[in-house]
Amino acid sequence: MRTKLEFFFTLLILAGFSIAVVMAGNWPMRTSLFPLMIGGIGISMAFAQVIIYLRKERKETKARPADQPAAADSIRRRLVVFGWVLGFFASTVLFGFQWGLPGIIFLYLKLDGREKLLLSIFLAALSWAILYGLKNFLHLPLHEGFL
Amino acid sequence: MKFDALWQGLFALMNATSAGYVFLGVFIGIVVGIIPGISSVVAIVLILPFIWGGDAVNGAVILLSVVGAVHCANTFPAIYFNVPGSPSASATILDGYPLARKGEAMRALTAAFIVSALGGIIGALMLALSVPIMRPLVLQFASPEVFMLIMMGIIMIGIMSGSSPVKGVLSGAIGLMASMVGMDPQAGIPRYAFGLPYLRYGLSLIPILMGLFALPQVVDLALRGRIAEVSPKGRTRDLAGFKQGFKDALTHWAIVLQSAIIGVIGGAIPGLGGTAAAFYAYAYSVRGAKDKTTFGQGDIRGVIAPESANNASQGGELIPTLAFGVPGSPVAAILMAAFLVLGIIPGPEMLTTRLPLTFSLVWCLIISNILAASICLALAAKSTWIAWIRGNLLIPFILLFVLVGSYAEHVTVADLYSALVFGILGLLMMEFKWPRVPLLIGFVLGGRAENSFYISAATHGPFFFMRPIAFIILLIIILTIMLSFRGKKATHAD
Repeated sequence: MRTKLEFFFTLLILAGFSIAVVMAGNWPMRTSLFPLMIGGIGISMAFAQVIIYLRKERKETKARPADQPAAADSIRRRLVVFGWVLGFFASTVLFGFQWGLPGIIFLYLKLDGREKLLLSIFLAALSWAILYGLKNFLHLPLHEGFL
Repeated sequence: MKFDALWQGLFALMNATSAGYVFLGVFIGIVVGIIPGISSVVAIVLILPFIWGGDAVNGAVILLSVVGAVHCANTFPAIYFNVPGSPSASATILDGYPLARKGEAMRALTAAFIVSALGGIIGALMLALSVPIMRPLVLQFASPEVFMLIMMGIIMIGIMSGSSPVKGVLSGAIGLMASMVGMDPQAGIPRYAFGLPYLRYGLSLIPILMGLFALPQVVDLALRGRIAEVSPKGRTRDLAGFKQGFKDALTHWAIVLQSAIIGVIGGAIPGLGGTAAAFYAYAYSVRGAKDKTTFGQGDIRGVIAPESANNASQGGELIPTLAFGVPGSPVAAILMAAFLVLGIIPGPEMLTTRLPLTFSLVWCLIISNILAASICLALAAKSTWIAWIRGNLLIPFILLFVLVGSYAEHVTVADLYSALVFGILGLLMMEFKWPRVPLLIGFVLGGRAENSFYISAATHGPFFFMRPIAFIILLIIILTIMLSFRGKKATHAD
């Protein structure tokens, strides 16, 4: 499973380098020389990595161990945490730093961290105070949110 | 001239602001070092937006103080809980934890902190001594040599910082490509901008740092939970252990010195760094011991060797970083990126016109190592509370600083998107064990590499790499690649 995902990741990198080289082909010589050189190295390395996976995959299919539920749990947990990270970004972009961040911090502590209500409120308020300080004392113009 | 610069470097730190920065850096470094899951890399990344635009010396001072203190404080969880506070303390676990289980945690910690300070001082002195040796060499370097050196740095870090040389070099190539986003320096034509105004000016370093290093660390921290569920065994207020640890550190001075030299050499070789140096120093002290059976069972020499080496490696890592702009380790790579943001350009200038700044960094290493070791010694008796640190409570605040830090440099939401994109890339790279540091080095050095490439081709022709020093560097690159693939084959055969 992991090898397969990594294989697709490498293919994505290979595609990225290929697109970069094709784009560079349309530029004048001086602009495109370095991108073509590095892109060429990238393509050959990514291609080598794809071959390494294919050979590894062939070996693994001969002696594939039983699926491990623990690994699946670990991936699930990683996805949940990544979901929260996305939530932090989305909340900040949509509701702004001053309100979006303390809000998502409270939700994270209460729902994912299962912390006590008072502690969650305290830490969310602390984050609000930090942001207030950055905005009003350090004069950092914080994003106010699109909503 | 050199002695003048040495004292100028010290006097530059002799003011309340710089002293305050050293203290702050040491304090942050100790907190970061104590908490497993937050490395000095993440600490530098999180601090950077707040010192950006300020005084370069003070900025560099706080960052170096953090690094010095992390190398000291990461010993706490390594000895108490068998968990390194950061990777460089990994070798300390081998004998540090068995000592703690025998009830000798205080002895191990005291010896570790004293030799850490000594190692740090030796490393800093080696850095200072390297200046007269490096200077004539660096002044021989023109564009072809600089280009070859940058390529060597990216390739060596790529090859040595991960399990697969191909992944490492590929990561460096991604970084180089990322550095090309924006206006072409030769003809002023936008490259890979896709019509977006944000990309026309090129990608910003800070959101990339935040995304590549801080976000994956958040996920890692979330998966860790509490550091330990049990308190360490043995008395922590142990005066006899303190005295014994002090005695151990002085009795084994030869191991301290030998390990510090290994640390400096390991740190100076691009791609190796402090963690590898600590393991080499450990192995060397085992090899030199008459009775090898006690190692791994709680031998104090097994704590002294890696601790001395990993602190000494800081000085070693700065030698190629400051002289050639080729970082010796992942931490040095991040430091170099931070130095560039602060306006400190590594290269010949650091050994000529900006020599006092280089010596300020040497003094800073010495002072921060002594200060961090002293504070850690004072904290040793009261440090068992670290078992109860929970990742859950730290994550929201790390994310807060990631978001604010990414946004603060240019005050644009686009930087948040950039941090997220590189965060996803960083997560995937961490998940699939692709080294991320070569990507950063490629990005940071990409502009310089391209400029040197064009200047070299224009002034020396297409065979510019045939100049003597450039050719030697080329041979080293080829040899490194060949050896890494041979080593890989041998590992497979084993």
